[in-house]
Amino acid sequence: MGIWSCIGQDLHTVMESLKQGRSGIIFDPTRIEYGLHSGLVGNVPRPDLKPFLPRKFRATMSEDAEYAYMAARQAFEQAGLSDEYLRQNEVGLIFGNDVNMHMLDYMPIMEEEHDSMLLGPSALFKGETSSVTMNLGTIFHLKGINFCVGAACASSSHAVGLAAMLIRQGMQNTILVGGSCMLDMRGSAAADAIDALSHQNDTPQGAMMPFDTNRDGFVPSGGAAALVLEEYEHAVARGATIYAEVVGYGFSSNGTEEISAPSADGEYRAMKRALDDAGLQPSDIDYVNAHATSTTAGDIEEAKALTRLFAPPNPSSGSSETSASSPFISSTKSMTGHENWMAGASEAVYSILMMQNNFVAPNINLENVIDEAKDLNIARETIYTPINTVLSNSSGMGGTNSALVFRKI
Amino acid sequence: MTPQEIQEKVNTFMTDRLEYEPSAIAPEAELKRDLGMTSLDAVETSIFIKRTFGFQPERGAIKTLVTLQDLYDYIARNI
Repeated sequence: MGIWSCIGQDLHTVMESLKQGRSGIIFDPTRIEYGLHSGLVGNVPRPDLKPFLPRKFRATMSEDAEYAYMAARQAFEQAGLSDEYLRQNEVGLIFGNDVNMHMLDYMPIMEEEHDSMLLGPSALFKGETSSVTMNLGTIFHLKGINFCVGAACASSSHAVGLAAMLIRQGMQNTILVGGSCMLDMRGSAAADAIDALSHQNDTPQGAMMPFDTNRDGFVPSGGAAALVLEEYEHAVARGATIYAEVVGYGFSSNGTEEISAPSADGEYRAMKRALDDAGLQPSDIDYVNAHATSTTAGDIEEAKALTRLFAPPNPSSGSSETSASSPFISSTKSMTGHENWMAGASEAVYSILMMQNNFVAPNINLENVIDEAKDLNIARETIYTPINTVLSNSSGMGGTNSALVFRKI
Repeated sequence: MTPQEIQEKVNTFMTDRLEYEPSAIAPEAELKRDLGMTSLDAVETSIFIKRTFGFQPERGAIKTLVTLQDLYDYIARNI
């Protein structure tokens, strides 16, 4: 696994941040000067790639491809996949990705000089949504499947699920999966325009309040996360260290008319399908990494879906059963902000780190839980307990939902 | 602009912008074989020529040049 996020740029630091409930959110005044109402953003450093890559590669890399490269390096290294191995074997590549703002960098040249030749060679390769997979595939000499999945904030959760399906079907034995997201403020402006961002500019680290009555929107963040998915026997034969198994993938579309409205029913169906795919019951799940983005509508709908699945009313008593079998739930976005298209993959990494290290990361900034979530077992503080199965939920604008189930090996 | 000035500007572009090895820069150096010029670098070189020397190279012209000296001469002929 590899990670480049606002709570750390290596697995150990990220694990410590999760344990300590450390927020990676800052206030950036240039966002306000630019015209956003929210000046909040994840504090993600731009990597210096010059020590690693010649200009030939760097020249065509989008901002998110830079993050993805750093995460991919870590993942391949941890998996023991050398450059020589990648050149000689068929390794695939699927990343979740969506908005890419780079084409806007080049448009002033056209508007002022009216000569497309002056755009230069990098506009095309930097400006496409699949810039990430174009660049990673080239840099690492990958020979297998190669594409991006665009499904808003569920993109990289779907990427992990699709990769797992391809491996199950025997079409690929090893795929680098991941998610990446730019922090370009021009992209955040569109989310600000629909009043989806938090305006708690004075309290950056307290602004992400998933499931709290005082939440007022999300904080945009980004970076990249990457995981090497490999067919089990293949990994064993290679002598690889296996950290977790992808045992379930579920998906759904809301089927409703409103493009920005989340749906409890849609999310429930995706999570139920993931459990069915894994052959597990809700009571088998130890921890749920919720999508919960701290938006008004999103958290309510997800809480309803989670309650229906994990804490249904007890038919005999009529009350909900938040029992010992109810999984712990938290939204790591309370610390990371909303990593958008990166979130499915990054939350897979966060969840697997928790499984490896036997703890549940806290849902920070939760003081007054919303009514819809009152029957859920939300972890407000770090809980040290064995975690053997995780469900990670994701949802995206336009009604796309994805859920993944991981099991410790 | 003197041939010396053209050479200096081109060499600086090659090392600073395209990041070619300074030790490989020589008039007889072949653009592809010795410097590693790619087709995308050739596009970048066309933009450099337009911005620095004020003329637009013809489509595909840079790709037909073999050595760095050929490039100096091409610029000098068209400037």
